[in-house]
Amino acid sequence: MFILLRQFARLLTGKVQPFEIGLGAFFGVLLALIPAVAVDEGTGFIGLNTLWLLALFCFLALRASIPVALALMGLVEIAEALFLGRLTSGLGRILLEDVLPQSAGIGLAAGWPSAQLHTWWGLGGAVCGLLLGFALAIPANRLIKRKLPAWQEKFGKNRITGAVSHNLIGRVLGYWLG
Amino acid sequence: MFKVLRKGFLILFAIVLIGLFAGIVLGADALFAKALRAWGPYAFGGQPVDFADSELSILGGRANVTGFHAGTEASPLLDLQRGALEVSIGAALAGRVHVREATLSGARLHFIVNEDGTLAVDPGPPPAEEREKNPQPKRETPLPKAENRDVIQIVAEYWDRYQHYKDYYDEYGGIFGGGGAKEEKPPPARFPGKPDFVAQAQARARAEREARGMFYLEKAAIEDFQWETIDRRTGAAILPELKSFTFALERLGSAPEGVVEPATIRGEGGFASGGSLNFRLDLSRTAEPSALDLSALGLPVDEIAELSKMSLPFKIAGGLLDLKTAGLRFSDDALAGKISLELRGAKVTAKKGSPPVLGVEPQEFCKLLNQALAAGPVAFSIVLGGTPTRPSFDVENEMDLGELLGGAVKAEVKRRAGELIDEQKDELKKKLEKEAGGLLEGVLGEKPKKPEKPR
Repeated sequence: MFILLRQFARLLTGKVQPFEIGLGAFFGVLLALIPAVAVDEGTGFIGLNTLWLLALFCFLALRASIPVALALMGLVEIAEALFLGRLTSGLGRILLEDVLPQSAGIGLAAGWPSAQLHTWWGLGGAVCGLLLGFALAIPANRLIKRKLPAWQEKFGKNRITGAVSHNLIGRVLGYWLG
Repeated sequence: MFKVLRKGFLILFAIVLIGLFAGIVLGADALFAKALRAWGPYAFGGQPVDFADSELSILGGRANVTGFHAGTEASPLLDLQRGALEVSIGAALAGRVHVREATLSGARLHFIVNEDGTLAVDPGPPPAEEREKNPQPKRETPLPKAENRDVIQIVAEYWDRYQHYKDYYDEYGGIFGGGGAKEEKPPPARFPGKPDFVAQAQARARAEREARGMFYLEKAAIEDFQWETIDRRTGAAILPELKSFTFALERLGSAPEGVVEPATIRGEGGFASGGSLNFRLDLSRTAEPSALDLSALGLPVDEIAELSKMSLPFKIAGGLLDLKTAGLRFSDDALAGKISLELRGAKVTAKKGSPPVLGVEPQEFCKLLNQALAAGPVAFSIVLGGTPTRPSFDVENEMDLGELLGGAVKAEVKRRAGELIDEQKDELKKKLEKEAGGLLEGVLGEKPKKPEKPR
């Protein structure tokens, strides 16, 4: 929670760009919904899903907000364990067996098996992750861009905001990760 | 535009990649040694593997190993002074092993029979529950107790057991494969599942991949090959000691497209006690049958007799044996060619259960054969037919063999026929008299009786 507050403080002080929050939200949802491990045993890369690894690499390479992504990942993981996982898996099943041609499933299994896109959960998770990620990140980005000037005017000069955004541990972490 | 990139992470990632590459190149020897120790036992049926030194050049695709040893101190399997491999990097990156050239020198294979009559490499029978679940059918002719079997019988028993429990040995280990302890499967994913048509396509692809094969050996030479064969029950060698022997292997394994030449294994050398062994085995890749040319000349009978002393119907001692094949060809459903055996200076004796040969009692046959062997070599020419799994054997020179035995067989047959006629003569006469009545009176040399006068 403190890290999220600090991120907000940094946003208000202009140290974080609005698109970083949007990217963080997008990757948080995506990384939570794509299964990290191989759903189809024996097809993963050292037991992991390479699509998830690719998303992780992009997330780390791009200036996406790590605290926002972690916070959203946690929330979506809980939702996934409760009901979202069954939904995404069901969506993948419908897509693979009823919507897409069989050659698509077979091609995905042959061409990039470690991405798990030939499995119900793998495909459903990736599709839901992309859709929900964009659905959350684009409005969030627009909202922050629109509201940020007002928030900066209201809280930007606040001493607490300044102090939180200069947190030493945060600076060290920010140096390494940023 | 580059503002969106997290430069620190990318630099760190690049450093890690370069470091990893440098580590693999510089630490290849250590990695290779570790991999050889970890994976070597799988190639030797679970036997431990050790070596004095190893090196690997990833960029050059070359590997060397010296002082290699497979097996335990008590039951060694293979020693190798030096082995050098040159592999294709392109094939390795595609997940295949393509050995361009391999040179193994100072190879010493150990073949040991334990005191209890089992092979040293035998992992033993499967556990009782496996044997109860899938009992092995009983043999038509039961084998003697394990400790009394000859080597042929020991190998045959092991082979039959391995074939019957192949699935078990493949899974739990054995000299021909297996992975030792069963690996624990990872727990399934939270929401597993995939379409059936994907599973079927994957199975088809896997079958195609397995059919295509993963291993191809272009050329290999095994120089200065030796074997150490000991039967610990007697302390004697099972096979004659080799003086020198070399192997040459070509095109073994799953050949790349376009290669139609047969896979070839050639061997040549000699035994310490005299005699030579040469062979060439061509395993066809086309519709042509495979071929085996073998000649083992001057083999000391005493040094190979122990191999099959229980399996052979006669006891053979002393002398030399020549064994040659002529035009031996085979495919899955056909076997043709000849095997010629020539025995010189040997002595054959019958043992309990020896069968009659050419209608002659075993003791008498041995006596005649020994007489012939004292006079000169005795050759048998066997014509092969049938299929490799159900072969047929016909002695081509059966008539010549009778002649070769000095006509003694004929004399024996005549003598026996004479005895039989003498034994049956009186009985035959009485029978004829009874049945033919007076018709034959006088014919058999007796005076005809006068007919009685009517009263």
